[in-house]
Amino acid sequence: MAVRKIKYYKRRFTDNDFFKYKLSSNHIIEETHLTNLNTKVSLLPFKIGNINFVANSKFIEIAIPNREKYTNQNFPKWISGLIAYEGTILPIVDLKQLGDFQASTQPFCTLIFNDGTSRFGIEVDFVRFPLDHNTFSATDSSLYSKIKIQQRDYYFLNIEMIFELMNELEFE
Amino acid sequence: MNLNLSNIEQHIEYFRETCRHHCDIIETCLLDYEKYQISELLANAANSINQIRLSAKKLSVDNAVLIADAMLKIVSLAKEKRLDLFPNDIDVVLRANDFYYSIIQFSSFEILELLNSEFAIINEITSELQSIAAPHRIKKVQPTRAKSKTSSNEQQSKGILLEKFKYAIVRSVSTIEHVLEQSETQNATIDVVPISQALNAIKGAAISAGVSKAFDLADALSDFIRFLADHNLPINPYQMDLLLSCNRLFKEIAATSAIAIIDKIKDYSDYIDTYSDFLRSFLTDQEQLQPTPSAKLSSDEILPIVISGSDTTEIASDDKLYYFGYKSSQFNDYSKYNRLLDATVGIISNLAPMANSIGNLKSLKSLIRQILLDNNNILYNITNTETLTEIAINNSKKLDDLISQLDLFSSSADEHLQNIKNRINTIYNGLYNFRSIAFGDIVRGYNELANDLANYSNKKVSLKIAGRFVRVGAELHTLLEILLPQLLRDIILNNIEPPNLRKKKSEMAEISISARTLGGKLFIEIVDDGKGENATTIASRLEGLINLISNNNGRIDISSKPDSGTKLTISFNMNYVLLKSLVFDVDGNLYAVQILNCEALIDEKTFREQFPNTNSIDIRKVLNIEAEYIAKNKPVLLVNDVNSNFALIFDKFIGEAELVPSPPNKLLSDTPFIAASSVYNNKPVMIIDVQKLLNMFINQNNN
Repeated sequence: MAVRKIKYYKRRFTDNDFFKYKLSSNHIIEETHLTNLNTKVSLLPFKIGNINFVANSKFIEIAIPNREKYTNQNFPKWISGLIAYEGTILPIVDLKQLGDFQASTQPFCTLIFNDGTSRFGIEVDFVRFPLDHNTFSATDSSLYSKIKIQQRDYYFLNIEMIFELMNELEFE
Repeated sequence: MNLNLSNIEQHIEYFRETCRHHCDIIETCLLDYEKYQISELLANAANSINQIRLSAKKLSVDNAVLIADAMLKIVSLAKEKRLDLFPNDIDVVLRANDFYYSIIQFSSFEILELLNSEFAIINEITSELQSIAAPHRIKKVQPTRAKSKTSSNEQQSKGILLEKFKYAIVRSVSTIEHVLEQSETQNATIDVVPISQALNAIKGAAISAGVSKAFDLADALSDFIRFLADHNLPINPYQMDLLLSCNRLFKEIAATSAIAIIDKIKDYSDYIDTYSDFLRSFLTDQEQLQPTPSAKLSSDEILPIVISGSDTTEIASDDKLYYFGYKSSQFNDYSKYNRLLDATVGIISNLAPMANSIGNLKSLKSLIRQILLDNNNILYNITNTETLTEIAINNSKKLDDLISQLDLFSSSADEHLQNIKNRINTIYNGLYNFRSIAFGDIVRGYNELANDLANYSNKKVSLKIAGRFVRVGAELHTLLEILLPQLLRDIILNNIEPPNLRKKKSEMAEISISARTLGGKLFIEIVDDGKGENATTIASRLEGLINLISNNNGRIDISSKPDSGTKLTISFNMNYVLLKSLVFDVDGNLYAVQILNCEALIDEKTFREQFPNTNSIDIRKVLNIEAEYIAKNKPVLLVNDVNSNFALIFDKFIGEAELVPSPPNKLLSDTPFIAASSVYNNKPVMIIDVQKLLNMFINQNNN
């Protein structure tokens, strides 16, 4: 099930052809349906390779320096390994595999995401200060959507979707 | 008078001769020592100095011997490696040597006079020599050679003592066994005298051999037996069981060679501790004679059962039913708390002198600062040699002071540190014991419970309990106290047939309760040889208990068929248990194997030489890692299956660790032999279930 869903996300993702544009190009959709809402949400910007992402701060528990990972051949491709955090073992999601994009990364820290029931980590190159932004409900069905904050382009990462994927993986 | 004179002359002549001969030797030896630092050279020099010293002694002039004494002290200390000789020091010794060499150039009469009159020179040389052998420079380490000698002596005598100890055990064990068997077959009270005599023999031998653990157990045993005898108490089957197992433990200890006994006792130390704890807790239980509530059997059913059961008058008479678990341990046994408190107070009292030592370090720091300032002065005064030497002399004095102070502080700090470490260990062990309870404590009194239930329902049951030493988490204690008696009751009342219906089977039905831990889980198996039923019928009967188990994150498996008995397996997660494990590295990932499963850890070469026929499992292959790890000598872990040994080959051995297991991540379900995961040095480590791995390997080979 999870695999099918990933394929679906990927298709959505590649259909949108987000990454076929260079980030500096002018083909940027300035207003999405997401920006219409007036509620302010705190977003944490982070960078993987040369791509800027933002994620809803309410899911982010902590950013920790990179840790050594346990890897296993049998893991799904989009799980790059397991790390030890607070005496527990957490999976690390590989966004490159999940989103099917290329980026030469030098992961520097790990963001730990927590939705109250489960946790996972994403390795990122670096993290900026959180931003406040008028935005959207996160129930959008795509994993990434493009937004512009303070004249800069970001890809909004739909964390709830990754949590869904993680949960489905557990029940498979 | 003449005779005396000629005598003295002879002595002087002898002294001159010796000096002429030996001063050369000393000089060459010491000069060579400067180049090569061979201890033999020092030994030769020391010998020569001693010759000179002996000959000087005959002169009966006190001053003559002073220098030789001081030289001998320095050289012999250096020989024992308690003193590091610097080039300057050797110069001083050589100058002292020159003194003897120059003095023999004079005539006999002059020699005596010089020795008497040149007190100033002699004094200077001696003080110089003494400053080399100053106490702060002498290391406190005992000379190695002497140490090895004494230790071998000690070992010898210890070997004999251990031999005696073993002999005492062997002799005593058979007497105890004999007496216990007699009392068991004749249903008589135990004959105390021979047993306590035997135990005393063990105690004596254990004390002289320095095996305190064995002494402790023997002491607890003799206390227990004497207590029974003093109060005329009959011995119940469980206590008899305990005595027999203690005896068996002694037997097993004595089954090894005398030298290995200490190791064996270390291996069994857990068992010994638990046994002696059991025995002691019996005594305290009996002494306190508290009214013991039958309590946790929640229902009213049991009470009337026992009262109506007329043939169990003995138990019903004093309102005491069953002892479940430690009735005293959890809340009334303050001795444990007191021990911990003692240890904590000890730590704090040791910390105070440590703080003082640290305060002293501050003064040292200021001293060093001063020296640094003086060094700066040296840099400024580099042309003025007089001030330079003055400063240098001052500095060296200060440094001397510093070193002696440091020596003093470090030795006292060492002592305190060791003390603190010991106490921390006590606290650690104490806390570990708090967090968990031996399974044996939980099921204590179950034999009586089974007997009573069997009597009530006119059946014959014998209960066997295994895994008494498995440590169960404190949070499961209450749950198991509720659960196990109910299950036992259900099994005896429903599963076991009355003796007349047990065709082909012995009249006595057997129930066994066993506990074990594996991969961070506690498994309790209850097996009976009763009539057996459809598993669903049993499940419906036990519905309440099953809910209780599943509410506490547990799981129960029921396997039963008509005529083939029933097997209940209950499992709970235990997250606090420490698994002693060996940690290995494979392809940058950490894997751990419980020490329980390990036979030996050897290197690949020895494995190929000594175990050519043993099956080996390369963990890399099992994990589907294609790249091969090339190393000179990989670690090989020998593990044993029921039938044969297997060898697991890893990349690197990391170390021994106590791991806190947690259930494995769902992602690892494709790697079934990983039983649990844990954290080691902030890295994830996977704990390997050796049995599953071996089964997997065997199945693959069969296919």
